[in-house]
Amino acid sequence: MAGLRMTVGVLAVLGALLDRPDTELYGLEIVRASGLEPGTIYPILQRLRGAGWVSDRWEDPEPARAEGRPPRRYYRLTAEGRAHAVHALQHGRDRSGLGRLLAPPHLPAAPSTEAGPA
Amino acid sequence: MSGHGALATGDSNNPGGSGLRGRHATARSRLGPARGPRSLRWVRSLLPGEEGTAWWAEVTSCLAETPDPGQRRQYMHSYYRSVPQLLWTSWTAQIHREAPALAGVKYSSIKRKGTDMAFASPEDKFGIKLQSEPGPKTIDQSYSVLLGIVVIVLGIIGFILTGFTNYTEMTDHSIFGLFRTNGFHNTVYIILGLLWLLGAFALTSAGNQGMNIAVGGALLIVAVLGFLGYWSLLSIPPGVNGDNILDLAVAVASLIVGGGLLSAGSRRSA
Repeated sequence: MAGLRMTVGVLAVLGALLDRPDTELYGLEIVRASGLEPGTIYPILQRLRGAGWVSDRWEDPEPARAEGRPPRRYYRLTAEGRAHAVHALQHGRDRSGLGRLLAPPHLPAAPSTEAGPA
Repeated sequence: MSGHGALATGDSNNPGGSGLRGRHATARSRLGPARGPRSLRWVRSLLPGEEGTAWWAEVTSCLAETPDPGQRRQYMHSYYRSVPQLLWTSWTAQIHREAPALAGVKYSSIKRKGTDMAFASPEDKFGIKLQSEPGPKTIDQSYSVLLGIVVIVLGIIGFILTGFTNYTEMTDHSIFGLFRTNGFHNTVYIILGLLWLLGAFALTSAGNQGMNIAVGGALLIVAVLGFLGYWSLLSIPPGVNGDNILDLAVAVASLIVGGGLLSAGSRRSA
């Protein structure tokens, strides 16, 4: 898995991104959706980007300036990342009871069908 | 929101402005969401390459869009707390990008970590040689063969000198005039030698390295105790003498071989 450790934080961020897979989310939206703090999610997003699970894009500065705020950085799951995320949320959470206890409640419930690795 | 926003751009255009901390509390609360997270700026310079700029832009953006001062303070703290993690992630990512081999990406050990040990064979688990071809192959195995033979020969010569009488007494016998010994000491030599030969022939390279670390570590303790003079029972006098130097030399050599320094070198050059 590209050496990516499925910590509770990583799973929460993946869950937040997977909740709305077709929309790009910026930092604060992921913060709100995952229930984690911005300082926590940034290194997680760094690692997800490094593994190629997540792509990022900077907002155009012009509309942002019109709204009077700095440009946002948008993240979304790549196709590869989405497959990995679905798998990780099914299996990663089951590995330790701790993860299940600590994972934010919004996370999609793991489907009962076991789509195990080949 | 738009009012805050206008001030936000104003402030982000002037990020290096004078520190208003505490002194102009009213001005600060009026500036609201845009009060630049200036106390975090130094982190930017610690990050590699573009990462610093990107991180800083994200921090500014996130804090500028958090109107509630309490919330913003909490977010600032979270950025503070994340600095060690941030540095670690940024720099390891950088190193992985620039020198994958250096960062260990190419090593097979990474793959090992993914294997489920419950299904691993005794060979993978304990290094007991089952499927691998017999005989010493690697540098550390050859080292074990060599050392095993030398030590067993020492033990046999020792027994020829001391015989089997006065087994644990202090004797005046010494092998080659260097290594003082008695019957018990000779037995230790032979057992150690057998251990090394066993490691060379019955264990995998990894298992043999582990054994060398264990034996080397034990011999290191033995050498230190010897220098302190605790082995009079084995007829080894305290201080610098042949036996203790031999113990120390073998301990260091075994730790080097066991630590995989030599075989790592050969693997890299091969």
